[in-house]
Amino acid sequence: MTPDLSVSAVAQPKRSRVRRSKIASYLVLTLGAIVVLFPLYMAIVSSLLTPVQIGQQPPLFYPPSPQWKNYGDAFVGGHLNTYLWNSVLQTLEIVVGSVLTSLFAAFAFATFQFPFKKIIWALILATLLIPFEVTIVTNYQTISSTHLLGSMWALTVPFMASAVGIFLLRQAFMAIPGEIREATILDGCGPMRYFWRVAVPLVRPQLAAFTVIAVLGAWNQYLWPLLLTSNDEAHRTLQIGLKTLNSGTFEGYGVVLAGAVIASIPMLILMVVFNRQLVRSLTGGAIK
Amino acid sequence: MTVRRQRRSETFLALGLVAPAVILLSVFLIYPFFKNFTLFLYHAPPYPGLPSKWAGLSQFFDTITSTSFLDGLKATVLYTVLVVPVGVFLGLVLAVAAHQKLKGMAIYRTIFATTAVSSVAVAAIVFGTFMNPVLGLLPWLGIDTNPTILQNPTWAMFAMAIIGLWQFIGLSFILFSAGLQSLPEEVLEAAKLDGASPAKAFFTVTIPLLSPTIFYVFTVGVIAAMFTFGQMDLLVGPGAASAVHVNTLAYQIYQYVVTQPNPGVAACISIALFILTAIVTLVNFRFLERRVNYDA
Amino acid sequence: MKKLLTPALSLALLASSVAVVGAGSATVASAASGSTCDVAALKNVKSPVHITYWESTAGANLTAMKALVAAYNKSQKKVVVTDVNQTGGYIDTWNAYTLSGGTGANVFIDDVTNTQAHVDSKLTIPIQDCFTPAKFSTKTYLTKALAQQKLGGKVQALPYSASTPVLYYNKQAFTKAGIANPPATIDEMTADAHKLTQAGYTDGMSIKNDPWWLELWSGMGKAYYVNNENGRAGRATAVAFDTDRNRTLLTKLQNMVKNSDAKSYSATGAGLATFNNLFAMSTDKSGMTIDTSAALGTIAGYLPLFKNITIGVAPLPRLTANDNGGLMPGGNALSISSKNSALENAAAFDFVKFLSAAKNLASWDVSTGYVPITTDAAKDKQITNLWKAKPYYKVAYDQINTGGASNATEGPAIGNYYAVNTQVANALNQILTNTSSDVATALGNARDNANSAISSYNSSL
Repeated sequence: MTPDLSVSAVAQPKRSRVRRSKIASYLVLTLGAIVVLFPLYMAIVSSLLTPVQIGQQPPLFYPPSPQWKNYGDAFVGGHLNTYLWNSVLQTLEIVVGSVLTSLFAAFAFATFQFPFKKIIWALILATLLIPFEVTIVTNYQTISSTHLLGSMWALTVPFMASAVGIFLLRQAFMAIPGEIREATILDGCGPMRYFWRVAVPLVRPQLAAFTVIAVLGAWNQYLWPLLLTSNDEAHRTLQIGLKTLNSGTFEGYGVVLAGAVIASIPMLILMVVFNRQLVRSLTGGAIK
Repeated sequence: MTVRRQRRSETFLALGLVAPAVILLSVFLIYPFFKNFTLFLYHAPPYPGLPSKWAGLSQFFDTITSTSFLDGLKATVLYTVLVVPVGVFLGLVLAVAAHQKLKGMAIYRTIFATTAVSSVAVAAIVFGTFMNPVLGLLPWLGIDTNPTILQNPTWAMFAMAIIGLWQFIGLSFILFSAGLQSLPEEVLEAAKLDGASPAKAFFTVTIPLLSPTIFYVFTVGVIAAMFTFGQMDLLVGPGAASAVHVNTLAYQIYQYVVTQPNPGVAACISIALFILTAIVTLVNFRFLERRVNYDA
Repeated sequence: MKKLLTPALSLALLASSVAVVGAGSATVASAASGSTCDVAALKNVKSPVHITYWESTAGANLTAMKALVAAYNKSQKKVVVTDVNQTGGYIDTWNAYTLSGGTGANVFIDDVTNTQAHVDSKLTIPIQDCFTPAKFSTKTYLTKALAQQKLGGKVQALPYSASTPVLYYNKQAFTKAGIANPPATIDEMTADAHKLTQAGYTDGMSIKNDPWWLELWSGMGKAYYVNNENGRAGRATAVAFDTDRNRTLLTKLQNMVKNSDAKSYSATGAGLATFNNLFAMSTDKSGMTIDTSAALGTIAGYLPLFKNITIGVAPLPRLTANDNGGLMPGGNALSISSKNSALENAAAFDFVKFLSAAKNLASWDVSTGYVPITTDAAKDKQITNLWKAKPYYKVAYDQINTGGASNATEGPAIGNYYAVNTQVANALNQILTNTSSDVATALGNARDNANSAISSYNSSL
């Protein structure tokens, strides 16, 4: 008897196997989603509780009388309005600075020959190996001796260059076909005009990717703002503001959590809107 | 314009374009890095105006053999070991599960990526609230350690690791998702047609293809973990960190710059931590990279 | 030209070859340092002298401070004070001040325990130098508070805010547990804690492991904390707290925790966790705790929100009934920079005089819960009314005025006070949270570590 090689005979066990793996996948995913979201969910719930409700055991999993005023308190009394603005300024300065210096340097490396090119490139790559944490001893002294302490520049200037940005953008510039440049030369277009009018628009995807990662990095910075603004309320960023809020008077857990929720919203929005650029920049060149 | 003059003007332009980045990187990364090698040779005075005293290499060796340094080394290594392997594994599992062509995957992918964009301050404060022994979730979960978790020499590091793990899962997930998406479909299909079960296909085909990504996620995770101190600062504080064994080396550097200023010792620890990370990364390269299967 | 190294490399080499001496940063051109207070010049000054003032208050205290500064600026035309609030607390403020080489502020507030560091750093003047020129009398200052700030024969910083630890207890809990009066000794405290656990308060007493308590209990018994008479007869070279008395004290506390009559919470945790001992009271887990009187305002406002709680305040229980040294004040004091000109010194001290006027002190104390630092302020109507309405505000004041001023009751003078403090904190945490640990060993370790910290500090001067 010839074996039944019809499709159905092979498909049956395969279909139930596929269904089982589908269920397993959904199970794993849902479990993972709960674990990942639970902290944020509880933070939102607790931010809407009164001091007495927060002390309750068993803990409340929904707010019976949402205390929206906690958000107002975090914003005004907790000075999160100032800190939010400082973070916006700080992020803006860092991103604009690092984008510009990276564009310039990357363009130069991709387009020109110049003396010491190899050494300078090696230098820039070498800085990728230097973690910022091992530089704070001297950077702190540098900043305080130049009396920049107590200004927004102290927070931003050290980060206005980025080896990662130069690396990413150099690759992007190098990918521009040579004929395009030659065509513009024939048109009498100088290098800087070519840069602004032709080259930069052509690397927009990588530029967007780098910008997103630069924004994320600057916004979430903890170490340097901690060093500089623990004592300086006027320039304190949002992250350090959260720390100050967390050390405050002890009726404040609801307000503290409201602050944490406020602080996480901007980056969550960023992640949703710029998801593609975020992924591209995180994996930039490393994933085959 | 003659060729030479054009070449020279191009040179000036190029150097001018490169200068801002190079100057900034030199002043704020290269110079401070090398300055550590001068600072660590002197005992810093307790107040400015008093002279620094020469220490030579003795300060370095005294520092790295001191109990506080060794304790910090243990804390750093323990934290890395707790966070990175689990984070790599969970990110991979979730990415594989979300890689299926099923409904709602986009939502799941967004959810898992949220931890990657959360700052350490947010993560630490949120988790710190849960771990409050009186007001948080611990009494409800029946966890009543004495002393409470964040002040417990045995358990505080686990608390720190949970926070770090939560943060790392998002990044791990994103990287593995991207890695999976870049895998060649034909090879995976071929494996399925060969009659291999999904599990078998996963282990014999997908994982080797993903090995560059696994290696990358591991490396990134280890480097980030070795420099962690954010949640320790927010939830334990500089005074208590060493008592509960969460005083990682990066946190000690911060303390010797801010809370108990001592540039000489801070430089010693900076150098030591850098060397340690370099060694770990090199070992990572040698060990894992050899197993990476680059054949597509 | 072509032999020139790349800009970056040459910069790096240049930097590394610069001699690394931790010399102070370039001082701002703010005139020569003067150790005299030129009050006469201040009287004749044509345009206002600008003074920078650093303080690290927060919350309601900050509001009160800003009001005082504004009132001062409004009350006269010779000095304009700019208040730069330091939000990091005393240690961060002091570190920022030393990093600035003493030029960051003309006058600042610092912890009363940090005065030896002021003297060692040479970044402040003895504030006594301004007393005679400005015709300022310290007659009405609480003896212990003033003596605490006297080092090298001169008052270095002028006491401003004072607080002591007190026993906070829940009157309803005490009634329920059948306790008639708050405990006056540690043995009574132990017994009462046990009664509380019997009455259903699972923690009994919530203990906050603050290393400051050890100093205070030593002062109560007129026992020295560091050698050379608490560092006041000569520089301290070793600690003196490894004694039978302290071993007994810590063992008693440890036993309370061991018998589940008390639960211990660290004071050096971060964030809101430092208030866990108070949260325990708010959730009926504990019936009493020890905390600073400076928090009285907030505690009295918060805990009664919970329906089972009526707050009572009692003096700190003594180790033995005949401990009569009283308590040394904690809190802060005003210091003047040594990098000021003589004119700036006079201006800064004029501001200090304003803050220390009886009615201004009284209003500061009423807003903050600190204790009046002069008997004049204590007689002010604002204070007498407060004490009449809420007698528990007087407990801390009485504790400071007990026991007279002597080197043993004023607290230690240690240059690297915080380093020593950390060792005691570690010992306390060890003893009170790992109840199987040996008190003598933990205290001995603290002694050894503190001694090596002190000797390396002393040798670095």
